[in-house]
Amino acid sequence: MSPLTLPFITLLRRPVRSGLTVLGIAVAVAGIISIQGLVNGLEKAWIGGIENRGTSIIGVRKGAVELLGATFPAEIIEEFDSFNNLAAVAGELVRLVDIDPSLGFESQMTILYGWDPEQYLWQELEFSERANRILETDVEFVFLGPAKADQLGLSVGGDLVIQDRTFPVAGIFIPKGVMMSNAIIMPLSTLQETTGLEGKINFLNLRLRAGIDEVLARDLIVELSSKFKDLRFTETGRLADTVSFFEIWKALSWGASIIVLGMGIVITLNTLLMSVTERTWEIGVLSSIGWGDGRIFRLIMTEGMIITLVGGIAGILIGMVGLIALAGIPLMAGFLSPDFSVLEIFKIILFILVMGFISSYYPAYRAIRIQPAEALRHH
Amino acid sequence: MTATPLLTLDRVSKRYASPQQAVLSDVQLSVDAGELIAITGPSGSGKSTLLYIMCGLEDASSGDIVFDGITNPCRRDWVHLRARRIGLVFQAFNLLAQLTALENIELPMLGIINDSAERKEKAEHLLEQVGLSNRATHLPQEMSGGEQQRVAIARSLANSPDILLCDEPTGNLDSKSAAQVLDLLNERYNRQGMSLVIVTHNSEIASTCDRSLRIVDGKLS
Ligand SMILES: Nc1ncnc2c1ncn2[C@@H]1O[C@H](COP(=O)(O)OP(=O)(O)O)[C@@H](O)[C@H]1O
Ligand SMILES: [Mg+2]
Repeated sequence: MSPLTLPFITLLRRPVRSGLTVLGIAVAVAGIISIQGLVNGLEKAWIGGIENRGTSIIGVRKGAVELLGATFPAEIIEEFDSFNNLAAVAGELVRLVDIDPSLGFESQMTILYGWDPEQYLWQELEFSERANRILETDVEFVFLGPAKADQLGLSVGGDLVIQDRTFPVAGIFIPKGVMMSNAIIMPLSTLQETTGLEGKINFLNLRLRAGIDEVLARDLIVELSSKFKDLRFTETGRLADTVSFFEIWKALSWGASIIVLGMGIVITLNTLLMSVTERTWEIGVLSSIGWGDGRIFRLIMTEGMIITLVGGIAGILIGMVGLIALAGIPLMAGFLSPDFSVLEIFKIILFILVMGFISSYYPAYRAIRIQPAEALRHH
Repeated sequence: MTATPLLTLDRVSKRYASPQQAVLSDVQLSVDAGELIAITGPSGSGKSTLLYIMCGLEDASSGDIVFDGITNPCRRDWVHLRARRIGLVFQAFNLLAQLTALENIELPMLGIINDSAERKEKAEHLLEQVGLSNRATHLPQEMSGGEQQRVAIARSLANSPDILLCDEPTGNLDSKSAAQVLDLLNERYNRQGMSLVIVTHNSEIASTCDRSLRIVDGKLS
């Protein structure tokens, strides 16, 4: 018999209760995993997509929380010519639209990108399918990401209706990142006109010249910031830390995680307390055969830690499977690339250990407060 | 016998918050090493209370207790004493229902014998001594009362105590099992030079002991 035998057997003796507690913890942990995974996935999908375009610095309107609404004049791009460390600049108008549900599919929130055919974002597009007809003179058309095309059941030659206007599908592009797979691209001027934002963009993509290191990039950002007082420039990799939308999103996710953690603690605490109360006699017996406070305390703590660890690990697995499944549904597709770093899993395990410790401590304390003589009499 | 007693109770009294009248008053008792003592008395007279005070499971309200030179052992001391020097046997056997006979015997050794193989070997040996080798993997509910009490005795001997305190050890047993249990206690007692204090209703048992004491109205005489 090992010191773990008694706690294990004790938990197994009440399989329904232990099982339900494990399940409760698993659900809580799976909840935390999904919340954290969604936030991280969204962040990675977004930033990864921008990095894949070869954009190293992003410029947005200063002071804007809701970046999509914070537009600025597209003509500002001409003023970037004087910066020698920049290889290319591209303006971008990004809108979220609801594709017309009358076409027989469910209403879908879709990201619409307006790119300028003269600039690198457009020029570097690659296609898996493209219309033969030359469309450059005609501006009323769209390119679809493969996932979006699939979802809409459209291919080259089909027609897409956005806000009562019909756009022929002129190509299916090869997406750079999961987010783009679900996106729609159209000429900048068309999107500006369709959305009533003539001459406006909301993102600036800046590409650095080859060989520009981080230090030079930072200097460049300082330089840009002093010239364009209304704009804020951020290195792509640091976007998540500087965009307040993401900060709020992350704070919310942690808040939700802590609430879920609290629920896990209450579940475990309740189970262990119940278990200690009905085992008063047993604890009296352990006292009578020479188990001291430390040993009894550790017994209850061990039971609590076993139950939270088993539940927690089950929860991690359920959460991961759930996230992968979630990433597969159309509503989420393109917003989420479910991947888990060792560090994140480690953090969650730490979370679980804290949960186990907190919820076992009080029941364990109650166990050593039991008066053994009293306990032994009441059998 | 030895000059200093193993366990001494000096004017020990016990009263509970309610009712106020004393369960034990000015009890005077000394147990020598290797002595066999019977304690009798009517039900509710305080026999169990006395045993619990002798092993520190319950505190005396007044008076002094000396165990082998330790005067009024503190909570920690008592834990240590119960773990290594005092064995307890109860009327209700008090085996853990979820553990097998062998595991119940091993339970007091956890934290005292660190090697698990050694613990197991010792528990097997004890089980053999009480004649229940064939019951090693049985749970308490799969054994008769007499067998359970024999397992409980084996458990009480796990760390080779100097004194065994038995609270009506045959109270729940038929006469045949009772006789077996008593034989076992006697044999252990004779072989190991342990002190043995047996609380009992049975005057026959009492008559075979070195001393037979009786509690009436809280007085031990
Ligand atoms: N916690 C307690 N509070 C009040 N009275 C108690 C308590 N425990 C035991 N008693 C009383 O003390 C007396 C002695 O009990 P006990 O030692 O168990 O007697 P015995 O073992 O001789 O039958 C009884 O009258 C019992 O009701
Ligand atoms: Mg009694």
